[in-house]
Amino acid sequence: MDKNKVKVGMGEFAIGPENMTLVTYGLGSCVGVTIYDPEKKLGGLAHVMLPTAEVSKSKDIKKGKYADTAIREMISQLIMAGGDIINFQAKIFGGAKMFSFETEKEGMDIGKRNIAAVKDELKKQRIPLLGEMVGEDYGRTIEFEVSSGKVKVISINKPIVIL
Amino acid sequence: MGFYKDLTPFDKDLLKELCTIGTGNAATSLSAILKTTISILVPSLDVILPEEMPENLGEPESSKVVIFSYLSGAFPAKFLIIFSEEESMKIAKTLISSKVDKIDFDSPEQEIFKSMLMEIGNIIISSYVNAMSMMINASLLQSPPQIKHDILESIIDEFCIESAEGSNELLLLKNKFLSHGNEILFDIIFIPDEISLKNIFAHIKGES
Repeated sequence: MDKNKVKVGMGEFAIGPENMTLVTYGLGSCVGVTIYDPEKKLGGLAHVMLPTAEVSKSKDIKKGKYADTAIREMISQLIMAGGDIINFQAKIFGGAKMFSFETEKEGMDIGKRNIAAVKDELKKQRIPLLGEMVGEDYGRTIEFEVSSGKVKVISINKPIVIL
Repeated sequence: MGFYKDLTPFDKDLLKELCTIGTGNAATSLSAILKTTISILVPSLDVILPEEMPENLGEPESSKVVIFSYLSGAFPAKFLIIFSEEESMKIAKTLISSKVDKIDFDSPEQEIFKSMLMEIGNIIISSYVNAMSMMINASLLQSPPQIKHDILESIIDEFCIESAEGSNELLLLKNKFLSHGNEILFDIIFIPDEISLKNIFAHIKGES
């Protein structure tokens, strides 16, 4: 892999300067959130698994795992790195429903819940949502090029989309 | 939490044995269909965090064909069969003499290929389940299978999430099926819920 490419695993997040490309592979019902400061050319990418850390039983939670804690932590790290919250813009990806079962209970669609939680937290932080490619039933790999703020969305048997 | 950590070496061996009987039975069924010798390896048992599952299964970033089925009732569990693209196309050639160069399940021409793989998956899983069912002397309810072709991580992340919401840890029993030439045909992964394990132990130990 390109040395300027940083891989963000499930339940993790990363921030990076201009020369970086932040990559996360195979988002299914997980949600990928990018936050970008176009003035300072700084960006962050989180690979969120669950809506909120409030449901977690353990005390030492992994912040990148949950929509609320991941977004807050990413914002504070971007600010520490010199970013300005006024400039921040977000894009979100994933939250698909890969399998469907007839017997499924209501409210089990984790993808949908993740999308709602991410949007909710972004609204709370007053970060505008500039674009989204969410839902449906296929996986997405995303590459966030920090220099341009562009996100490349790659899916199997589908054309590449740049958002 | 803690339950998986408390499993004794004996408990683990017992689970592996259950897995071997299941896969052995499945291999016999598959061997009859493919008319070839099928071998299985010694199963591996891992206790991991949900977010470690993609790495644990290997090559999470590559695209795979996955057949999924779950058990409900007193023994909730999940089954995953993971085929490489190459191997699933080879099976298509052997079984239905259809040449597939590029997998695309949305294409109408691949409808038969897709159902054939799903049926193979179904036969493997139900043979596995039947053997287990006899060993623990309980009936196990298996869902109809579903099939997906995508990046492995995107297919399995929902299962990781479900587990992350629940018990924080997963127990994976993995086995590999090998062809006559010792090439890997596919991996089969059995993920019993915590409650399932408790019930399995109760059944087996209670009767011995």
